[in-house]
Amino acid sequence: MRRVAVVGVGHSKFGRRDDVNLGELAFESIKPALEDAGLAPEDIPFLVVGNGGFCEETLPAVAIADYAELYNAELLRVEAACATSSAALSMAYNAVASGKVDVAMAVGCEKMTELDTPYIVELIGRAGFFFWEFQHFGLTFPGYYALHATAYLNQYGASEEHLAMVAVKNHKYAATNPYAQFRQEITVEQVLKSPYIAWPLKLFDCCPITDGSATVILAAEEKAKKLTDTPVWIEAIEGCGGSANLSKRESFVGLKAAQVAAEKAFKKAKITPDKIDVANVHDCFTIAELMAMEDIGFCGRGEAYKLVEEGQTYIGGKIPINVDGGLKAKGHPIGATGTSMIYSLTKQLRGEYIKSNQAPIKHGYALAHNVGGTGHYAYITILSRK
Amino acid sequence: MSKKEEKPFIASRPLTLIYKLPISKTLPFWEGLKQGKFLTTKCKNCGRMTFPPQADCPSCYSSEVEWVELSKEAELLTATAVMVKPSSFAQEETYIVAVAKLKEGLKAVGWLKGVKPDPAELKEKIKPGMKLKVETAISKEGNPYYVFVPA
Ligand SMILES: [Zn+2]
Repeated sequence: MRRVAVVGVGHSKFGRRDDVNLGELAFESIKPALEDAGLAPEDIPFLVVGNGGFCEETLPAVAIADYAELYNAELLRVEAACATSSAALSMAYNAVASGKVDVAMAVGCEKMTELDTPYIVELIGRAGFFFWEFQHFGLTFPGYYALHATAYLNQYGASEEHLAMVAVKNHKYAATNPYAQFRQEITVEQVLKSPYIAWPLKLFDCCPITDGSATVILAAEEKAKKLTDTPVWIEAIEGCGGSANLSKRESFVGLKAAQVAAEKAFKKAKITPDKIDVANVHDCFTIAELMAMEDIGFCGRGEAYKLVEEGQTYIGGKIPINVDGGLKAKGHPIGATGTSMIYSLTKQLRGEYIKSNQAPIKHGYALAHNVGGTGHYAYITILSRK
Repeated sequence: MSKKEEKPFIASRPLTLIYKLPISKTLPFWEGLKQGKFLTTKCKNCGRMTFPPQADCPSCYSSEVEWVELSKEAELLTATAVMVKPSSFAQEETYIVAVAKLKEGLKAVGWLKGVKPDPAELKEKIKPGMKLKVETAISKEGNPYYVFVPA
């Protein structure tokens, strides 16, 4: 397998983007990614589109490739729920690492606000084990994570305040990220006073419904060195699946799939969690950020809420997490979230991120933790600037 | 988070989808519920029990499974109350969804009735280890299902 680098990234504004359709939205990240890499549309021989399927297009990859006229590329669309564009990146990585192509593009794009909110709640709720969980019992996505929140708070004695602290941090960093959906800071009190969505999770514990796109271009080592002076290397991209039905899970205080993917990724990258300078983790709900920290191994079981309480996940702390605002406040366009994480971390490792959101880079490693469903899929990507 | 004005749009052609969910291979489960029985599958080859029931053993891949009756005794593992509901559950009152461990060691997801889905009451009552029993029921739509209730 060849070494593979990120050579171009692009990002659209996240939010309620009812001014654009799927192709137009994808274009907003494809164009800057090509410019960043110094490549033209005809230079892309392999194109993977990540899209969860929430808008009217049955063939979203075709709609996107056609709008940007990326006609030279082998084309496919992948789905791994909220980890969809990490899966897309993994496919693009395989195509380059294997020697099949020298360059590949992963486009994550999702349009979610074309349907009214109750229908989106319905569609995402169905994204678990439809027959045995949704059909009879109407579980929603906040509900799935609320089951974990109840278990975590009960087992470790953490409180709803700890969950609120995660939201406060992520809003703080989103406030200075021009691409973020929510640009205002919030307080713990505001979170605690917000209405329950799925007890014990409240409105401000939940990520919003978002439209957005993010594009990543990969190149093989030799090509990457010709294209850029600041390649960001993919040291590992590892995935794992989890049981469809929550009733087959061993525990509800972590996500096994993420834990296994993290173990595989650290082994592949030959580093330990303490070498990570900055991380993006899948904080679709505040509880998810705590579980992610423990599943990755940034701390032991039941310790994440203490690190949060100490402020160790802010820039300047032990491990800065989601300093682009995270899913919670930057927004969570399902199929674009994975590539959006890679956008932020690539900029971080290049040292060219938004000044107020730039983490100190000491060891030169960054990590993206992207979960699909409630641990139904998980991808861990480790990037380096070495 | 003020609601901004909507941008210009054209409404798509409407589409109502109703999928026909096959239950031939798990029919004894649904028939059992109608008679107040809580059944699942057990592999005749390796003895593996599964919940939900499935016609093919996921351990040894044998398709020789038998139907066995479960005790209906369970213990709470975790729960949530769904306040913001999906469109197809819009007519329901706030409901509690629980994950419970059955006496036989299997786990199951289902509604928990008999506890008020009020945050204060939930905080006090929803504790792991709470004793539950399984009851069978018929939905408004006429489909058999099961619920947990405090024992
Ligand atoms: Zn068997």
